[in-house]
Amino acid sequence: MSAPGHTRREALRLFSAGTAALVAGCRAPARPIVPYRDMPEGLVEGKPLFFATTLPLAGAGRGVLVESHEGRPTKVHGNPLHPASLGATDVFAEAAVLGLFDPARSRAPLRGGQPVGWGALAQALGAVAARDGAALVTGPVGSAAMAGQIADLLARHPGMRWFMHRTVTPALEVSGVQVWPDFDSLDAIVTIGADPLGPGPAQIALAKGWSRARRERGLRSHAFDSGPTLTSARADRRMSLRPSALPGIAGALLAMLQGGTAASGPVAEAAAILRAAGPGRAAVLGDAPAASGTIARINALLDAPIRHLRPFWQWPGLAPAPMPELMAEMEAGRVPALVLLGVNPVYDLGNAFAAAMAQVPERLHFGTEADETAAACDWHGPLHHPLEDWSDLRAVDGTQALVQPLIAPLHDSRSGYEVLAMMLGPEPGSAFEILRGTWAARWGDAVEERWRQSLHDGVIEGTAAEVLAGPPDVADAAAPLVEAGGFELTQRPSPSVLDGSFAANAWLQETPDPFTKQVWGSAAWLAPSDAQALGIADGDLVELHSDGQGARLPAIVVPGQAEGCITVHRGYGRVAAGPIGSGVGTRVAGLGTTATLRATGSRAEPARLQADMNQHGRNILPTTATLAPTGPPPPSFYTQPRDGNLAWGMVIDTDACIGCNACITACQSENNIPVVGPDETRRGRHMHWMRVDAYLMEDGGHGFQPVPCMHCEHAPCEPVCPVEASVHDSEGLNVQVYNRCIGTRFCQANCPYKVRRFNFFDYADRQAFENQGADLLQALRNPDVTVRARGVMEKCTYCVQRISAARRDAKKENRPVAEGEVVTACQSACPADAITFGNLADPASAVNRAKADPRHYALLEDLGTRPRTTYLARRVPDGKEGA
Amino acid sequence: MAQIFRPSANTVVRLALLALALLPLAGVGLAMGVVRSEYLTGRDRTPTQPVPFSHAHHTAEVGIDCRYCHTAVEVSARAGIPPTATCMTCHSQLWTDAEMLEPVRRSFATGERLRWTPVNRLPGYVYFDHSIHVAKGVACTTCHGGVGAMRLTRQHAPLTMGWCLDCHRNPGPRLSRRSRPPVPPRFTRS
Amino acid sequence: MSAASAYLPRMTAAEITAEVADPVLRPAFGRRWWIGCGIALALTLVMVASVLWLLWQGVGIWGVNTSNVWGFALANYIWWIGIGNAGTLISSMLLLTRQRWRASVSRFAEAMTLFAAAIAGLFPIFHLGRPWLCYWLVPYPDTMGIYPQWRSPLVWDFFAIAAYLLFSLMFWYTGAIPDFATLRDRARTRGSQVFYGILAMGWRNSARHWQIYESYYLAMAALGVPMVVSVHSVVGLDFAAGLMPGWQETIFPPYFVVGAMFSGFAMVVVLAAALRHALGLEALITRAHFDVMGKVLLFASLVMALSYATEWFFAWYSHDPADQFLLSWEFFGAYGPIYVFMLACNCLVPQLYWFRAVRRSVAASVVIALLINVGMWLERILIVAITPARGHLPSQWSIFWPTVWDWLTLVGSLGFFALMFFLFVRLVPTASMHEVKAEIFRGERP
Repeated sequence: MSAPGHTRREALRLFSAGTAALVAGCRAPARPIVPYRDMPEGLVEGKPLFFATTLPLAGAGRGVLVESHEGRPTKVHGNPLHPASLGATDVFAEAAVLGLFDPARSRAPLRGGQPVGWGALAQALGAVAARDGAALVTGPVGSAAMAGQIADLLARHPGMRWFMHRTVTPALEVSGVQVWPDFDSLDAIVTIGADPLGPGPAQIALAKGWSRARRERGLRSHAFDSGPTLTSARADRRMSLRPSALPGIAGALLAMLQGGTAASGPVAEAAAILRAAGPGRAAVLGDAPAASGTIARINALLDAPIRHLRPFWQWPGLAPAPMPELMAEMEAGRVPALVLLGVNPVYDLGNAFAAAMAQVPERLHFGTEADETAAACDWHGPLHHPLEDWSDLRAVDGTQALVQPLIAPLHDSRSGYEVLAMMLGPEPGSAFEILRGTWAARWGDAVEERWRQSLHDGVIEGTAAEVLAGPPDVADAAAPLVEAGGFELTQRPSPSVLDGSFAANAWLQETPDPFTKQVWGSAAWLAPSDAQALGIADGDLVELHSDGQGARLPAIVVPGQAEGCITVHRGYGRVAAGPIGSGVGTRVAGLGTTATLRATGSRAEPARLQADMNQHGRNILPTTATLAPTGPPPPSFYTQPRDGNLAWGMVIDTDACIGCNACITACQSENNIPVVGPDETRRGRHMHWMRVDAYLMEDGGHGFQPVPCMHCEHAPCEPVCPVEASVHDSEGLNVQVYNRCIGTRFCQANCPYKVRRFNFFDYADRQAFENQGADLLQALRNPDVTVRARGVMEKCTYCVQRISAARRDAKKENRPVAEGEVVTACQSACPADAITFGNLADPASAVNRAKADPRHYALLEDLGTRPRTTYLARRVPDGKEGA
Repeated sequence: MAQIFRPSANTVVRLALLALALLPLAGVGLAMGVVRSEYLTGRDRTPTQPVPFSHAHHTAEVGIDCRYCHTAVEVSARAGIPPTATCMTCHSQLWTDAEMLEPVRRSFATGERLRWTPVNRLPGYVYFDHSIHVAKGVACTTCHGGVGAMRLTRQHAPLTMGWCLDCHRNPGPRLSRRSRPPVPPRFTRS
Repeated sequence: MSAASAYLPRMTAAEITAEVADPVLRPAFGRRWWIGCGIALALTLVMVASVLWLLWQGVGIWGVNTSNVWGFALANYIWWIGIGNAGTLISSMLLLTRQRWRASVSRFAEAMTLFAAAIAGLFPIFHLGRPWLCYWLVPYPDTMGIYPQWRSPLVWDFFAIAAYLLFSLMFWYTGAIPDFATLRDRARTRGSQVFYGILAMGWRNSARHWQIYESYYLAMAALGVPMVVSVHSVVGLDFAAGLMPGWQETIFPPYFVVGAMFSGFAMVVVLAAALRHALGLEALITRAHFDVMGKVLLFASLVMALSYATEWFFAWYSHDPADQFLLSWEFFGAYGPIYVFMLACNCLVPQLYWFRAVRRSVAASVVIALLINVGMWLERILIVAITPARGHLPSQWSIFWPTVWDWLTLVGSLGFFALMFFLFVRLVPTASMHEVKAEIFRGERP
């Protein structure tokens, strides 16, 4: 009798256990809470820590503050104390966190493509160093410690040769001299082929200075260049002409300033502003060696407030040889071993280098990714990403700063210091010890205090570039020969991927070119007259032939491009840049200075975020000449907003915006905005909350208009949402409630500014582009911002997470929110200080001052939406239209 | 002609019509009930933990303040779960051989971190800041219940949006007198 | 012969019953029905597959993008709900105005309304980013303490469609009860006896039943007309309540109502011709019917032409650059040829209805009606796609082109409609026998 009873009882027990499990709730299993074993010093759960470090770009450093959440770097901010940042960033700095967590980064040393250990690699390195004639190739070295190591290496192995491979020079570095203007003394600038506001390590500092001069004293500028650049777009007047003609402009300008003819025309006007500024208040900036002598003489004539600095990569006693010498050596078979440290010459220099390199019996490559050069080498060793490295870096103006890691190395990589140390001896020592040793030697007894201060500030005090005695007495270099017929070719670094080293970064690939708004690729820029003559339209596939090399890429007609000149961008056409960067665009580095163009007859639609740059007479981007005076706002049936102590507003100065896109990437980083990829972009789906619209101005130049959400007081998106997912809060923000949104998209249909972004697919996770849904990338997400799911609408929130955090802090401390306490991501990133954000309820706030500016206007004002995001019109001098 | 249906067909049809009218309402009512039930909100659910930690013993009997372990509650959005080292401040001296504390000792010895099961779970799209609630006078027990009486930690409140709004629409009666003055700036700025 | 009797067959009551009821009671339908039903079922499965794929992948499988957010889904929704308009108008408005000719067509026209409205109600659910949460449009006390946002035309849409579906179902069903009773009494098998018996709800043809029926039917008809006008006005307000150029026009509500009537009647013409031919109902659905429906379509097309002209006039008169640009882009932009074709279908081709010979020709009527349906669908998609393609900010202009899934869902919905209609034809008498008999009776009285 007991057996069935047992069975029954057991059955009941099982049944009730099962029911209990059901009763436990129908929910997704919870992720466990995993506290530390020991709390790290200074860490408060949920509160980020900020560490000062420096990030390299083309070898030079820009100081940054990196926000770290529980040991994970999530956001890069500018470092106000570092002169190459002054609180702002550029697209490359903002995208550095993605580069750190890139799933396609090189993770382990490789030998012949197979994983191997560092021990073997270190041995190989040690053996290589001793060989006579071995070659070390680095990029421009901005690190004092590394310079010291290289000096040691060359001293210990006299047979070793050191070569420097450069792909990008910072703006205003000409003929081995870094020109550094003093913007506080400048009232007029003429640029001849130079692009100080363009992408590069000096962009932030120069843009800061330029914008300050423009804002405070109305800096005038004229630009002569072969096509639209950020500098020429910002200039009051621009002239585009062939690159071969630019030295002639310098000559004509000099003649005019020396008391030349009273002619009219762009050169005369340029001379006029230089003269009008007065001695010591004007400068001419150029970057072509063929004009450097003339420009130096002009600057001497003007007594221009510019300094000539030693370039950041030049160290006393060290003189790297250029790459052509290396190629000659390799071809002659005099290089037994080649060590490449953080460079990718197989991509940059093409087949010629690859062929020469094939002559070298032993080739070792070190870099953050297993790139084209790694594929052609026997050994490959992964290097640390700058965010996980100990190092130091010199900025373009010579300021030195330390680089400290934000996270322990994610993969089995090593620091560049350690690699060099492996060549110096069997016991390499850590990068930290090497770095500290260099600076301890310099600081002596004060090393502890100075070390902590430098780490804290992100700047090493008392370091600056050596000012060279005077302008170099150089003659103009010989102008490159230009063949008649065909087009002159201008190769520029890409504003998105620079020289291609950022090709694997999805955020940067999706950051648009400022003028064509093209993403995920590049194009051949044609002048409208040339395109018409050849019958080429936007998107036609064309073939460029130059120096025996060819390249096929789509053509885009760009107003402002010089006639007879084609602009192309480097950095595309990579083949070993992971799933993101491989096969994107066309490589143009092999082309020369002239090329012939042939229409192929087929089409290659470029992916563009904006296709129509025309204002169509709607005065979208007014200037002070076209700005219509606005009266009081018309009466409205809508209830007026009643704000309390806080009423947020934003003013964007289109006279300051240089179109650098730093705000776009900063917003993407801060708000966990996904990448959609080129196919989705071609379908017209974008996800950037902040976009920068480009429009053609009446004078033929380009203007930029950053467009975040307008946060309209009478928002058209609010009354149309059926589920009340688009609501207005008591501080003037229009907030989007992600979890309530069912995705009718009525809000976006009714938004006249089209600022909203819809998740057509699960871009952030299951349907992410390529490997952007990888687990590793979850680490860089900002934990204060929701990651949106498929079918949900999102948009700019005025960084509501920052507003909320400041409001909570103020309430906890029983005080009002201070002016400047809330800084949106776009505002802090902007190197031109174009964005002012603050509390409209505070009469003394900066944003109120901006709204009272006579240049103030609202976009699409007559629709009655009463946007909180408004603009300041672009200044045109003398009231003449476009003059 | 013969009748097709029996007389009871009338009753059947009338009942069917009544059901057609009432059943949807009943269904909706049932759904609304289930959504508010403990089955879905998790209220009074006691999840299993690696160590059967008794808040009743540590707070009510021993007298440790909440903030000794949940150190970040006054400055951060998250209250924080204490690191193993906090447990070991006492348990390196007390109950050093207790079998119940073996996972804690092992964690401290090996460095492997303890994995606690979350009790009060909010959905991922909800941002909840503990510090501002504490600063404004919301006592721990208001939301977390009589923790001092809990031998095993359980979820006290339904944690639905409506439950949060009930307080936010009328917080006054639920606030306790502030037990300490506002936090000085040094502790709130990161 | 009076004009009224031109719409009515010269048949006895018994003949009418035999004509309409007997085919339904046949134990098996012919091969053509099975083939048609098979095709319709296949297309329905295409629609189901498209919707499942949509739910699995997301709205991104369609051609919509960041600026042009509504595509085929909204156009299909408006087109289908427009088609549904005619049935209600035929039943309600023509009843109230005592038009004799409605009797023969009202049954299948109301069935068309029911099916079209049901399909129309599906598309707003499909087009959602998170369609599993569509029930949030229903006002019920939820755990979030939030109700729908009443100012939104989409909420009004929800109530409008729900009310419309409920109304159409009740109106159509109760109107068919006497005919179900007829079928019950003539049923040859026990199965169909029980089936139609349940549907007939014990109808005894007694005076009391008729009295309740008549007062109820008239009251519903009185409700029906304002309901139809309000439903389609609300659909128009989906656009007119906004501030985009080309949408923000006060003419939209009446314009949509007339457009709905237009497309609905065109579909009735097509269905009438199909039924007339397939079921041999030439006596019930006469050339006079096509004549008068042609007049209705002609009138509607003139009103549509007037609506277009009003739009163009006010775009010019307003001197609003956005509106004026949009107007010229409508004709000369990327969609220009489609726009012109749409105008031809909607305004030009129906002018053939001025000719009596065209009106009385079934073949010509069907061709014109099909073109009207196509034209009206094109008009819907152009409304949806043109404005966001050329809105206020030139930087955000973006053209919408459909993907294969857009087309499959549309074609599938046509198949679903056809499937429901085939089942309707199989199970329900396609003409309202009792109303035809009543009209004949009234006509014969002095």
